[in-house]
Amino acid sequence: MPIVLNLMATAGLGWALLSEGWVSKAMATLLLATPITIAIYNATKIRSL
Amino acid sequence: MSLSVRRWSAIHRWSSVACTAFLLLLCVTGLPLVFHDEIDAWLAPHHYAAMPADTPPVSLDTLAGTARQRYPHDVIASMQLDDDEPQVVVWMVPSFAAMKADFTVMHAVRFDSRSGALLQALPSRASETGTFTGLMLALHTSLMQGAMGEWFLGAMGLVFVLAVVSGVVLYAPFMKRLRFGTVRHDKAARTRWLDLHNLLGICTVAWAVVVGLTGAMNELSTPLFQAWQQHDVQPFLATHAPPSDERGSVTASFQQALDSTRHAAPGMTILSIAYPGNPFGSPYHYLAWMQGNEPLTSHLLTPALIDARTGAVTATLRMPWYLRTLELARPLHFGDYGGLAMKVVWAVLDGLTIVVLVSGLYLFVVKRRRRDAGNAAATVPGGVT
Repeated sequence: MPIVLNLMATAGLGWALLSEGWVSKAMATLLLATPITIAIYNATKIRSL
Repeated sequence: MSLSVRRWSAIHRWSSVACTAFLLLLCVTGLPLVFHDEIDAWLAPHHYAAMPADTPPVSLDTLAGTARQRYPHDVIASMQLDDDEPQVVVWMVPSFAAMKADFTVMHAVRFDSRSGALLQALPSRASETGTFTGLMLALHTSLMQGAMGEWFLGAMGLVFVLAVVSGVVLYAPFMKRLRFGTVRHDKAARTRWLDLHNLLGICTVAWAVVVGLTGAMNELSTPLFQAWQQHDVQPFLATHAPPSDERGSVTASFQQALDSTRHAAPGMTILSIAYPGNPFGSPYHYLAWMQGNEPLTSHLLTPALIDARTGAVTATLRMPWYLRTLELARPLHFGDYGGLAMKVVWAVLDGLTIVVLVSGLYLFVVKRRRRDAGNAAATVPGGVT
């Protein structure tokens, strides 16, 4: 799971750098935000995936 | 605990201890810098007269004339063309010798690029740390200690990357009995914070390594640009110097330099033009800095040399690989290449890194206290041995 999440974040970082247009940038931002969303959810909801 | 894990644990502990205080400062100062455009626009908004969108820009020579009239004892160092706002900033110095000795003597005049109206006279660069974001930037890049501060923070960035990598190595053996994302809220405070430290740390690894490495690289920008100037630019200029009796004569104007550069590089955006003699340029050429218009090339700068006598483009230089890498590292550090949403995510990641750093410090202190308490109990007669 950590490997998948960090690959998503890395893809988001690179995609946003190479892409044009707000849709691509938004998708890339979403990829970057996914791992921390899961982390914050777990940290606050007192449960594990 | 195996020997290997003990070694990695020691590396993680001491590399973290070495860099935590400075990383906290970098995270705290970096947070407002993520939004520096928005903060600057809020603290010092730029207002422009309403004019038709297709109003042509005034000649750079007209702006140069107005700037020289206002500061007759100073010389123009460069002109900065803004591709976001209708403005041109004219940078001036008392002399190029004074600029070489101390670049903070630079001051500027800001013009409306469509009407030529003088909008603002900006004080010297030394006063830039007087603004909020200027102060944050000075602390973030060098601790206000110049080149020594830059080298030191670059080294701290690398130590931080070592702390992150060692943390990743330790994550697997420490978490092998727990499911991913477990936070044991029913356990003692130390256990809860350990779980949070592990969870937030492992979810931000990729970002932390990228920002740490690119931050360390950015601290090398000054010596790398100096190395490029010495090894590539100076030999080039030596072979393109005009005859000795024509050196120092500048007959081409700023506008001529701009026009010929636009003609020679039609797909590029010109960001600035340095006047011949500028210590950061060429003695015999105008130096124009351009960027591409593609997503990737918009982060890469390309310099063009324009003959100071004829106004013709002499050459477009290709930056060496290490400077191109450095230029690509900049947006990856600042997070300003994906719009406001990405800036918000960058700020959240920055905040989570602060939590990881503080929780790591807390775990270190608690462990030391427990060990000291254990040692004290062992020395008391009848205590645990």
